[in-house]
Amino acid sequence: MKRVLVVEDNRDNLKLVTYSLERAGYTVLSAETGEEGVELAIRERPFFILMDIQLPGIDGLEATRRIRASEADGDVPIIAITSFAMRGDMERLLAAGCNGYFEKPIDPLTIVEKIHKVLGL
Amino acid sequence: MKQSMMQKVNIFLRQFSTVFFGSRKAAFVSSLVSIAIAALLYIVYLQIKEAAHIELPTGLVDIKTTKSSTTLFKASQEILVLNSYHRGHAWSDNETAGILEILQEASPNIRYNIEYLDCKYHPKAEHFEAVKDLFKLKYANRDIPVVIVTDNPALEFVLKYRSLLFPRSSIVFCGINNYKKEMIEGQENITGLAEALDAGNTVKTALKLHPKAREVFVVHDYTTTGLATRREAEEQIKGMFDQISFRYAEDMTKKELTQRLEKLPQDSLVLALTYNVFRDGEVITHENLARLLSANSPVPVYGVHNERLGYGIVGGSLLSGKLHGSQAARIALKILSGLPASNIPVDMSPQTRVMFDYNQLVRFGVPIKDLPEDSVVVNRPVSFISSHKYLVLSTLLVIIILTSGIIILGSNLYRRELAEDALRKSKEELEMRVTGRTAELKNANEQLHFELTERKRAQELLELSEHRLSEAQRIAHVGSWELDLLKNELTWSDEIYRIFGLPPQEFGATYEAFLDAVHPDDRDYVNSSYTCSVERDVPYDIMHRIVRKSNGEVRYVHEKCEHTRDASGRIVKSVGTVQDITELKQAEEALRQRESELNESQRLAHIGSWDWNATTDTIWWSDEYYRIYNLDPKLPPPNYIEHLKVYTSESAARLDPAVKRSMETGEPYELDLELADPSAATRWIVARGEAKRDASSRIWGLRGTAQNITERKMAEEKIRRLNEELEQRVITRTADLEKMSLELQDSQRALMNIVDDLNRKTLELEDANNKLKELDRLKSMFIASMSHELRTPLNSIIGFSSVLHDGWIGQVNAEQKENLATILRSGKHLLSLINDVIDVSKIESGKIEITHEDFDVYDVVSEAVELFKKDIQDKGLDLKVEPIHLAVHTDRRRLLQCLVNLISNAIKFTEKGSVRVTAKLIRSSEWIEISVEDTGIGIREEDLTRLFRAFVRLHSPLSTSVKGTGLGLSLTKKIVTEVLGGEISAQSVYGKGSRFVIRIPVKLKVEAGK
Repeated sequence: MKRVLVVEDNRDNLKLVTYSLERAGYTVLSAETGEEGVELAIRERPFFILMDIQLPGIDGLEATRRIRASEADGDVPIIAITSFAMRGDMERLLAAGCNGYFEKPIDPLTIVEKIHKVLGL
Repeated sequence: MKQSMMQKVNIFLRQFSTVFFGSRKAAFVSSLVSIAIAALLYIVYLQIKEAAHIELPTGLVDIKTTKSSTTLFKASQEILVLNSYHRGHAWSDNETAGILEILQEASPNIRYNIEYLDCKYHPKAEHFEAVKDLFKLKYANRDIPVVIVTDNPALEFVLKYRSLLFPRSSIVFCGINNYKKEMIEGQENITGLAEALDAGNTVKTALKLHPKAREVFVVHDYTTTGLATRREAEEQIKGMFDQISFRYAEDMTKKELTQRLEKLPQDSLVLALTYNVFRDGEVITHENLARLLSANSPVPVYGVHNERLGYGIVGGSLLSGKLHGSQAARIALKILSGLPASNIPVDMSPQTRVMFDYNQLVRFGVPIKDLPEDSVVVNRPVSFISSHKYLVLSTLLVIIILTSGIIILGSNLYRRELAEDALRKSKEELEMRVTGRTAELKNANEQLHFELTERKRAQELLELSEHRLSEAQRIAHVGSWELDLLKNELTWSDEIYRIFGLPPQEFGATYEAFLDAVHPDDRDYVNSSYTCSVERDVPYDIMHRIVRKSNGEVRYVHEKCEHTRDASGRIVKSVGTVQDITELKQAEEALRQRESELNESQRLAHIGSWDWNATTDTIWWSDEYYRIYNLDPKLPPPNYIEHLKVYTSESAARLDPAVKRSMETGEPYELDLELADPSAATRWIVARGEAKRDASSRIWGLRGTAQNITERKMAEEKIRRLNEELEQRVITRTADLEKMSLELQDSQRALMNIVDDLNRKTLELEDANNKLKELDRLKSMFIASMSHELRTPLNSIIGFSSVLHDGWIGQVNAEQKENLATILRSGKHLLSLINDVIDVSKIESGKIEITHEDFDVYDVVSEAVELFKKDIQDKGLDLKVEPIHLAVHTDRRRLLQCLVNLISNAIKFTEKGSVRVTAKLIRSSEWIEISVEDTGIGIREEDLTRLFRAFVRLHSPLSTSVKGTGLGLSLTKKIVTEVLGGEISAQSVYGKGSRFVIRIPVKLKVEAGK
């Protein structure tokens, strides 16, 4: 069972994403703050990370940067989840180290398919 | 040249003799002298010509040899002379000279070639090789019978290459230093002479001449040759000179040698052997070495080489290159004449001669008589008398002839002086006599001259006075005449002719002729006047006119005359004058004219003039003055005091002091005066006056004008009155204005109050505006929070209901599933409603963000279509998208939103048939047109106008079953027009289908849609 990490402060969204991912056969690790997410990412080395950008404390970009900074090989895929307000920040996301991004709202029925598309699976 | 010179001398002498001798004898003597001088000059010329041929002494000795037997030589025999060194090398040149001299003397038919090996400058073996090749080319096939080689290198060269170059030639050598038999061992047909220097004899001779010398300093270089000559010298002097020490020079540079020479002791001599190269390789010639040694050595230098003589060595038993050459040539001739070379033994005897340099002998005080017999001295001065005997003798002869000539001349001169003395005396006597006679003549002459002058002066005075009279008449235009009544002969002066305009010869001067010149109208008057004057003795003094015949001009003349009577009292002669008074008449006429013009102009200008003579107190008034003052012109003007009465007393009181001041100071005056005329109305005049001065500037009266200015005065009065009225009006008007000004100030104050109110209102408005802005900000915040706060829970609703609906959490029954679907559908509807509302409000408030991107329209169309794939499949519609790729630069997301809305509508209202999306460039490819066409229910014509209004849902058969916000098209239009800067239109046939067209610029401008 592949472990994946979801960093999301909105529990509703977290729950929906978790449904989708578990249904696709992943074990879901979750974090509600950026710091927590960074800690888990470094410790657990998940298969991929879904990262909400708007987070209390350090935001998703900072968390991504820290994860990238801690890595030796740097290949854990990080997919950002952005709000409508983040529109046009694609470059910032990629610069911070994200591999791709989705815009909210998240459709639980199609999210896994989209993740796989980004990851090339 | 010589001839002409002699001629000149002859001519000169002849002239000379003619001047001084002046006799035939003297001429004879002088010709003798000139012949003698000419002879002398010719002898001198011959001597000089001969002297040009005299060989000056040099270092070379011309040795005449006996003629060899030339007859033995065959024609065109050939000799090659091969020199070791170069042309210009003294030794080589001398050797060659010696050789050629003998050869040329022997036979002109012997051909000879001269070559130079140039070994001083090219001592290397390679040089020999190269020369060998050259010589091979030149001589190998020539079979030259004899080759003469000079000096060691040439001998070495020939021996080395003999078989190659000269296999059949006989070799003759000369100038070979240090000759040994081994040198030519094994060679056939070779002979010559060794260069044996004669150091022994040289030293012996030198010591004889310098008995005090105790040391000999021998210089030589350290080349093979140099060392060889040293050995040779050592052998020759060994044991010969017991008391003399020989010191040999080390290998030195030029500088070192020089220094060494300078330090030589007084009792020493220098002996120079071969010296070509210094220690540092510097090469020096024979001559230059001699110069160097002689210049730096304080003691005599002796040598063994002839080449150095004349360049500073005292002398010695000298080896001569020329002797060597001559000797070698003789040997060569023997060989050519048939004697085999092998039969001629090598000549070992020194080819030397004892020689000295006269200059050096003198330098070191060696007397000639001490020199050994047979020694040659060069540079010896030659005695002039002995060598020019004829010149001296002939000069003496000439001197004698000249001296005798001078003596003859002297005696001649003495006799001549005696004769001259006698001549001078008789001449003096004669002169005295002439002087006496001359004085007498001079006196007589002076007397004559004086008389002549007197007469001339009287004549001149007469002429002058006549001329003056004539001039006076001409200037005064007065002519004089004389009428002889007895003879009726009239005489006119020149001026009368001028006055009458007649040339004297045309006028036959008679009384009748005169009358003819008088103006016809005056002729009787003149005639009767003159007749009366003569008959009744009344004076004749008349004015009349004459006519000039030449041009008909009329002139006025004034005539006077007096009569002369004879003893009986009868008038016999009239003498009179005629004066041309035409100009006077014309002037009078002009004056009269001017006066009348003045009066006329005064009348026209109403200006009268006056003149007052203060001395006589008389006044003159002009006609106009009388008129202006309304006075009787028949009355004479009064005196000054009386005249004041014409003015009012006030005016007279102003005039009087002005007149007095003007008389005193000459200051002019101008016054307006009123006339006191009780009979008429008020009259004003302006009186101007100014002083009259005599020649000494004294004021003797006044003159001036009076002008009637009554009208002007009246006009001035009128103006003054008008001015007063005007001033009064201005005062009144000013008062009015002041009143108005006060009123205005009141109004202004009121206005300022209003402005204050306005300012207050403005502030209030600004407050209101700020509040509005605050409200706007709040609205924006509301929109922002709505987008987040509304959508987040809605997204949860949608998300969870879709998860439940799809049975992820657990099995749901059909009714539950249907209810969940309703929740899902309502949620999505609500979400899109919210999104649309937010978009509309953003566009309306201008807060919409516009993103510019480059993309392909086909990609956007494809993306929009992709969203409806499922719906199209469900409905079984036919979707047509033309695959046209068009690059645009605009807001991609907003364009997508519009396309999604239009395609969504098309699908919604089409139950069967097709939906077709096309795109193309229009308007010069600057715009793009995208159309969405369906075969749906269509739109009624009346609805087409309401189509794009917000919250309008058209009545249609499908309206109940098709969900919609009523905002879709309205928002689409807003986006197309306000965000994308384009336009949207719709066409429809009700029941058949609709077509929506978007047209937008290909390149969205930055400011568009704001």
